[in-house]
Amino acid sequence: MNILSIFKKECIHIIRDIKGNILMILFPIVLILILGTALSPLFDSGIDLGYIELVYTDEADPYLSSAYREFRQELSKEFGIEFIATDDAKEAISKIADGGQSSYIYLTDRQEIRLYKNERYAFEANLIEAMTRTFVEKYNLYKELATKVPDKLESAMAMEIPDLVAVKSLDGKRNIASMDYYAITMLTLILLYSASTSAHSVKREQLLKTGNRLLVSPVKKYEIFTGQVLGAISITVLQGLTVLAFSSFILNAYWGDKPHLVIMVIISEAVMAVSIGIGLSYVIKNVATLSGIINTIIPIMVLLGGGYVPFEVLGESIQKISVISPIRWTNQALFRLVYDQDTSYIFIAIAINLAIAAIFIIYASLAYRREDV
Amino acid sequence: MAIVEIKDLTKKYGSLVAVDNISLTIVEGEIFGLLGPNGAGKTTLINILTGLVKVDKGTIKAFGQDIGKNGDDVKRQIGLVPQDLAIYEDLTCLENVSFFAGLYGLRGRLVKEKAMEALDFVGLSEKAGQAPKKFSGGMKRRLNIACALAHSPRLIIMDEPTVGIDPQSRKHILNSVKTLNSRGCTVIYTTHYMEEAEDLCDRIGIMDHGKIIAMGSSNELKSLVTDQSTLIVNLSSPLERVNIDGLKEIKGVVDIWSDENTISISSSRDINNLDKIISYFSSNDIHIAGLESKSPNLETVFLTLTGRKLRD
Repeated sequence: MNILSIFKKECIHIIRDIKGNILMILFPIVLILILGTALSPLFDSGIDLGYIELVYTDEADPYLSSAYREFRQELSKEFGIEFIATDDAKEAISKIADGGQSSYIYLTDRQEIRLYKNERYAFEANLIEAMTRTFVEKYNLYKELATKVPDKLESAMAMEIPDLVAVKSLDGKRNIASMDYYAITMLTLILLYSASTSAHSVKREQLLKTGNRLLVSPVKKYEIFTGQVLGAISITVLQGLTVLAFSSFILNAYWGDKPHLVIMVIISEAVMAVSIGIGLSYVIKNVATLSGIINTIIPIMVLLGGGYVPFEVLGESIQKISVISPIRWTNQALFRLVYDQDTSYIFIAIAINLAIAAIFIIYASLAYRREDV
Repeated sequence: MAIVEIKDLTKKYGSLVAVDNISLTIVEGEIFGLLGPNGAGKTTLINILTGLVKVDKGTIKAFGQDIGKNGDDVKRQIGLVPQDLAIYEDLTCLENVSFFAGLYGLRGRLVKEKAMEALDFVGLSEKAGQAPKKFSGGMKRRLNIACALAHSPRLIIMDEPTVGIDPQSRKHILNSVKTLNSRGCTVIYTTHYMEEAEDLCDRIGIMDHGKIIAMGSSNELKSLVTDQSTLIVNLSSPLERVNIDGLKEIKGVVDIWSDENTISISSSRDINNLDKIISYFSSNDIHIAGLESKSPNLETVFLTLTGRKLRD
């Protein structure tokens, strides 16, 4: 019963702490929004081809000419390639030779498609060559069908034919948008800041001298300790779930299809962060020093865990060091779960979080038991 | 009936002896005052009584039980009003009092009833729903007291409850202590204000350097120095011109203390040496601005016993 009283009181303190709630709820939401929007190019898997100009001459018969017109429209729409018609084939070819143009396509009146390209513009020229070859193969297929089995032409044209150039992720799995990325990393970041909240819960009792008042009442030290820890963990989990719900339903961040496992990881991280805060508050007596240390450790752990920029960007040496950050394991577990449906890392992350929590909680409880006024 | 029995109690912090071999009995129904300057050991003694600090030597029994062995039973019957405010500023007055009352085993509707009673007692029932964040120092002190009362303790320990508050709140608190006592509560009241101790306490223990140097009722303590009278001489000349040793040679002078431009001269009551003292000053061309003859009070007692003032 005493544990429940202290638990309730602890919850009230944290809920009424406006600054703390801004930090734990509003701050991560704003960060997800800002980073998710500002750093979206970092996560964009599409290819920007830039401005490509293609000169052509069309002297082909109406069938080929019509097919080529459709092809041009498709490329303009899809890749923004600008097609410029010319009647002067000689001048166009000499421009290619001079390097003034990357490619020139000449559809002759003998139904030939000639491609002239300048290797100085290798990427552009090869891309246009690849697209043109695809067009030629497709046109020849339809032409053959029209000649030899005309009754099959219509059904063949109705078949879904793959895009000319398909951009696909090599792993074939869902791509991570910046909003998705920062929804996970900012949530795991902010959960760590509950270390600060819980450390200050302990210090509050010391500063307000209410700690002594608790100790003179017929309450056991373990009851005070348990009530405080459970209160801090519960509200931290609640704050984390609020951020998770907001990012999911309002910001449309992707959290995968196993929410119960995501929540388990969140709870384990909250337990770890609260325990670190409480543990440190018994190691470091000075409040300013305590705040300083917590506010230094958290960004380092988050940076090593890939919280600010994707883990892969950090470089090999930092990636090696990052194993010391529990956030690295937590983030990795969540990304694997959400995007690869891989649950194997979940239990590693939870085990690491709870092991760290156990160390700090055991230390804090022993220190509290020994503590004299 | 003895409600608290302390025997040979000693507490050291390193080389500092905070409580030095104290023995003391407090009787049920009395207001017992612990009077002494800051650092005398009053708060350490209170902390030992409430179980906050472990003793190095000695025994304490409260309500006939050993505090160390029956801690929770004893704690349930004690209410502590600590020297420092021990309230949560983000909880309302009612939440504060209810929370602490809950820790003493009060449950359900009774918690709220008792908490409201305690708030009413200290004159804060109208502020029950407000958080003490913006309260005056006096109101916070009253809430601090209410938090110790809701569980109806038999023994209330008040550690300097009137430090730094306005006269109106002080009066309210002193009246509250009297009312509590009239309802049967035993009160241990620590202070360094001798007027409060004189006004409130049935018995007073004077503490200095961790020891109780005198104990008894106010009159009993004053009787320790009734064979002396004190003459307070205010000087308009610099104090440096006074030869204290010369003054001590005057017949009947027992002791002399000086403070800024004032000299306190304690003399035996049965020897009239006023004319000699005055002539000493005039013959040495030291100008007297005022004279005051003082009957003994607790301040005089403390001064006589320790050679220092209570507020030193």
